[in-house]
Amino acid sequence: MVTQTTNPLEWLQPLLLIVIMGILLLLLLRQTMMLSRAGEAYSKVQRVVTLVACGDKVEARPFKEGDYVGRVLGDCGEGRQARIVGIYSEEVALEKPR
Amino acid sequence: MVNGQDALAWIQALSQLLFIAFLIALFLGLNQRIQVYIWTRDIRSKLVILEGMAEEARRRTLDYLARNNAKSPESLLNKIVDFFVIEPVSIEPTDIIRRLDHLVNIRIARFREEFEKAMPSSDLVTRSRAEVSAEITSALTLIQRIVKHYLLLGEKTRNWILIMQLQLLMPQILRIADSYRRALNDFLAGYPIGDSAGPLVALKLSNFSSNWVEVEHDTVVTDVDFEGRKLILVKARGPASTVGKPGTAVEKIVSELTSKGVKPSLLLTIDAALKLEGEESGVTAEGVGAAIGDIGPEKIRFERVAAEHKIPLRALIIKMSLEEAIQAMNKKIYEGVEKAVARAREIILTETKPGDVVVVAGIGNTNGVGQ
Repeated sequence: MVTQTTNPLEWLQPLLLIVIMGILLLLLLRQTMMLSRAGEAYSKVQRVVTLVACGDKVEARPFKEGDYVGRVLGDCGEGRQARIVGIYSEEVALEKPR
Repeated sequence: MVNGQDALAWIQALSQLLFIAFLIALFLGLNQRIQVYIWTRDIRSKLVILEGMAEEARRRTLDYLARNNAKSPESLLNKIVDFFVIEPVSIEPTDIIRRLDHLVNIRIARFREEFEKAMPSSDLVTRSRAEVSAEITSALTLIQRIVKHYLLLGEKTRNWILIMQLQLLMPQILRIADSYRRALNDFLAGYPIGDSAGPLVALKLSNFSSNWVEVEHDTVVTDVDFEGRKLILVKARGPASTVGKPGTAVEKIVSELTSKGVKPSLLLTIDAALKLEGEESGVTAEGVGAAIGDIGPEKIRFERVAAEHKIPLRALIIKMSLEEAIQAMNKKIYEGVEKAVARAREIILTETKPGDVVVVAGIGNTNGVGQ
């Protein structure tokens, strides 16, 4: 009588093939996702601040069209003139959409 | 009915067949083809982004021109986008600076004339911004065209090394292009940019003097008293978007002073400089030489005039990245400007004595920085 014995290692080869194909599929998906995200990194929001000085006092306010450093804004009391002494930008963190 | 043993035998046979086929395909260059295909796809997707950026810049520039009643904005922009300058012959270096200066001057004059003709009712600031936005559109269009050229050339000649190099460079190219795209917004809005650090230091050193006069094309000068020294400050005329001609202006000023028997004790140049990766932005550093990033004609004037009259030529820089240099000045750079003002005063105090004349040039684009 012939007895059939099954070798557990026989399943190793197809199993390995399936694992490799799975990894390849995952890599392909990752590549596709990376491509679709390529343009997303380029969207930061900035806030521009204007520094207005009146004597020794300096106040920050949001930038308005026409502002430039050195611009005289007019009288700010006691014969002093308000002047723009600085303009700079700050990055603002974007809120994630819910 | 297929039992488990048969199925296993089929799977084994199929996997071996696949393995052999894969091995043969590897020797025939399949791996490279797959790799080139992935690289090409990657470049193409990024090229779409670059095309979008160039198109957006074009649209925004046309909008700006139309808003400011420019005559035939489309043809004006097309002319500027395709404009080029042929570099002078360099194998014969005699008078190369003079020839280069001549070509640069012609280019500036041509651009100015074109914009004056197209926007006769606009002021200088508006025209300068239109000019810069057209130049940014030109730069973005050029980047996109060059990437497309190398991609198509690589595909046509099946040069996978070319495609690989291009794919590896794409993140860097995209970063530069994105800087230009963002710079366009900042220029049009009139914000001081990182490169405005030099003119801003000069303006702050003048204590916001109101007696600036134009000494050279788009370049202004003023003099103020500082601890008994006479400071002669030079910067580009703002708040328009221009770099002026600081070298020519300083040459003229020093010549006038020496003709009157006055020799400046110090020539200090202040400019934004590119930092190395890993360095902090807004850090100041000092050295010797002309701190100016032009292609040659202006820089050599500083060196020549300083060498001719034996004036110490000193440099003060504010470090920043390329992106920071062309985008709205950030807080770190602004703080760097404040530090540079203090350091410039320190240099003047320690290296000159009361009664001396010091020439200080704030180098850079003066967009958003008036006087």
